[in-house]
Amino acid sequence: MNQENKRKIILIDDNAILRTIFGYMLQGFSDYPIEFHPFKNALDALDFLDTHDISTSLGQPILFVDINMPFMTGWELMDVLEDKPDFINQTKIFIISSSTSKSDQEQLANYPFISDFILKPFGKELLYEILRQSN
Amino acid sequence: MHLQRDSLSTPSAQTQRSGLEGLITTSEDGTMLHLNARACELLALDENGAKGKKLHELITFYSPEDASALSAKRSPFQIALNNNQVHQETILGIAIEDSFRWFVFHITPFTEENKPHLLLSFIDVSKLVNQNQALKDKQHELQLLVASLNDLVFEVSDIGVFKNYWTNDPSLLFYPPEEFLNKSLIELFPADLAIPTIQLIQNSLKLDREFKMEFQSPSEKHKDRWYSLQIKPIHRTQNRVALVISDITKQIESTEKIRFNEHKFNQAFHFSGLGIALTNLDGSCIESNNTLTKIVGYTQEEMSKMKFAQKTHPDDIERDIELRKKLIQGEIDSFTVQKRFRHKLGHFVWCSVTMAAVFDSANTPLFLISQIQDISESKKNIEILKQQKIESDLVKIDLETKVRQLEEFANILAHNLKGPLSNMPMLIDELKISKDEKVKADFLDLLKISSEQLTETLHDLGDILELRSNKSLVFENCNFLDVYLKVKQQYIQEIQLKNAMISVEFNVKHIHYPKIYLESILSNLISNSLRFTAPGKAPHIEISTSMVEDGTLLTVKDNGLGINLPKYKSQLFMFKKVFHRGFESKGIGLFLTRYQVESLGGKIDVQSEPNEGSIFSVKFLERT
Repeated sequence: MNQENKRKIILIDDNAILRTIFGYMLQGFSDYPIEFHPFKNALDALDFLDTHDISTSLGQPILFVDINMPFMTGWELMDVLEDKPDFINQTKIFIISSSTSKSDQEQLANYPFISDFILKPFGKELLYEILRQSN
Repeated sequence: MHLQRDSLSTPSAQTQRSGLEGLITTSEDGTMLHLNARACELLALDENGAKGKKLHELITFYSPEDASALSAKRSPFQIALNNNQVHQETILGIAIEDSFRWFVFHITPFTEENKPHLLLSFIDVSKLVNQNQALKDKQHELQLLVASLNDLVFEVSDIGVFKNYWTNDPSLLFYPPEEFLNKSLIELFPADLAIPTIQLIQNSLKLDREFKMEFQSPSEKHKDRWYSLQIKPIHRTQNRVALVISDITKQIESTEKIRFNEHKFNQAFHFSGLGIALTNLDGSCIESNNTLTKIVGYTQEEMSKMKFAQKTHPDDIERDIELRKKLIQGEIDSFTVQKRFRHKLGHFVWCSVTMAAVFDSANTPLFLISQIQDISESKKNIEILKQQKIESDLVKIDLETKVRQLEEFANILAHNLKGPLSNMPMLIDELKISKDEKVKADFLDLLKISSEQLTETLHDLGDILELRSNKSLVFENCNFLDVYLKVKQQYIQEIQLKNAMISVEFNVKHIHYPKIYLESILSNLISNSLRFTAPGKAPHIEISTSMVEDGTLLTVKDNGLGINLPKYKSQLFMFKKVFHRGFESKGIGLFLTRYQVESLGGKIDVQSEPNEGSIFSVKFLERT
């Protein structure tokens, strides 16, 4: 178990601006300490997860995953995580996307371990609410 | 045959008389007392040996009726003695050397010395009897003959009077015999039958030859019956003919049936909408109809001088011969094929031909019947339909491509526009509430970047949208080598830098295509090959064109990084997809290339293995 008592928040999104805004939003959250790990693609994130233990006593780590990314889409990442039951049992997973397409909504049903689908753009109130609920 | 003789002369004198007559006198018990030389000669007796012997012991007499032997008691001699009366002209036969001889006996009883005696005088009538017998036999035969015929035979005079008749079945007569004998045809039958018949009778007599006519029954009751009337002069008479009437209703009916069937067949044959031909087993034409003439152009006469093989397309002959052989050998009942006939004018006509063989009762093949239908029109229509199907398939592909492109546009909107756009309200919200000037400055920068990204994406989309309105495209004759050399100029720096080698082989030298597209396609593929090179390998790019089934194929092969196809193929040609980490890449090149190819009906494909290089192939659909 990670000894740092900070909740791990992981964001996987190829959009640099979104990553930056997301970071600023998290800085404004003061309920509990947070450790933020942004990744520009899923492969880099998987590399990180393979080598780091993100579980803490403070609450489940949270993954925010964009769908449309180079090299590996959000859905492809879900396929990989599906085979790691230990990981998905102790992690909250949210999809964040601007996509309103039907096919993406249908995909959601294939991965029951996903907590919710968050449509971009979203405000920090929504993000904070998620952080509080998922505690 | 009554022989006149003097019965008063004395018996001895009588018996002594010579001549044709044999004379014998006997006593009461048949003992011969006298016999003359003629009697010995006729009965083959020895005068001395016979005298004193009994006549019936020496000679067996036979009855003329049934040639049975007569006993002494039943003999006419005994009967004459018993009755004491002259028994005249009794014919009796005796057997001499295997043959009968016949005699007329005249038996006269007389009394001498108070004892009854008989005088027998006889002459040989064998010839007459035999002739008579022959005549009787002939008559019998004639009766049998008449009985065996179903005909009526009449003897008729020159003026048409019935004199005699013969029939097996009197019920066949038109009238009872007593009503027509000695009556004239004129009295008995309607004039339209009687007058021509009498004319024929007279012609027959005059010309001494046979005449024949057919007539319908004059009786209303038997209107449906037909008869044949034969008139033959009876030889050795001056004015008699034999009139033979036969019932030919059945023949007439069957002839009518045959005639009707023939008529039906002829109608069917000559007025059929199908071409019909009867051909010999060797393929020569016996008869054909007008429809066939219309199909192949040859008249029936011309056709009768040719064999079918002469009118058949060379490619169809072999199969024809094989199938005919099977028909003739009875292996198949019929066959239908589509074949080409050579029209008289030289062109070929597609026909559907059905052929069957006709066999006689002994199963020997007689001839073949062919039914020929001109199907060139439907063949042509099928071709047109096929062509139309190809065209509509192309339209379908075109439409499917466009639909897919629209779906992709929807995706592009979602991912590539909405994404950057969604950042902007989030940034603005933060800007509004943030009090930290540093953060505000950062966010404004981000807002600027977002707006730039949005502009760039819109610009790229604009390029693509331009491709979709291909009305402005100018198709021209493009020389692959010229286009390649022009494109190569753009990359001359990179080629030198990476020490790349490019070899070209344009087997197809030209293509009718929009030049700007061709330049763009080639430019994108070369640029990819030059960019995604494998470390430590000098890039080698092979560009070639070749002719394939329905168009020109352009391939660009490199020895670069290659692509993990199972993983990325579905996205390879998509908008803003990048597959190689660490390269300057917008992910728009292949997407554009695909658009340029597909919007004109072509196809782009790729074969690749990671680290083995890639082969991109573009198939152009050339519009003619």
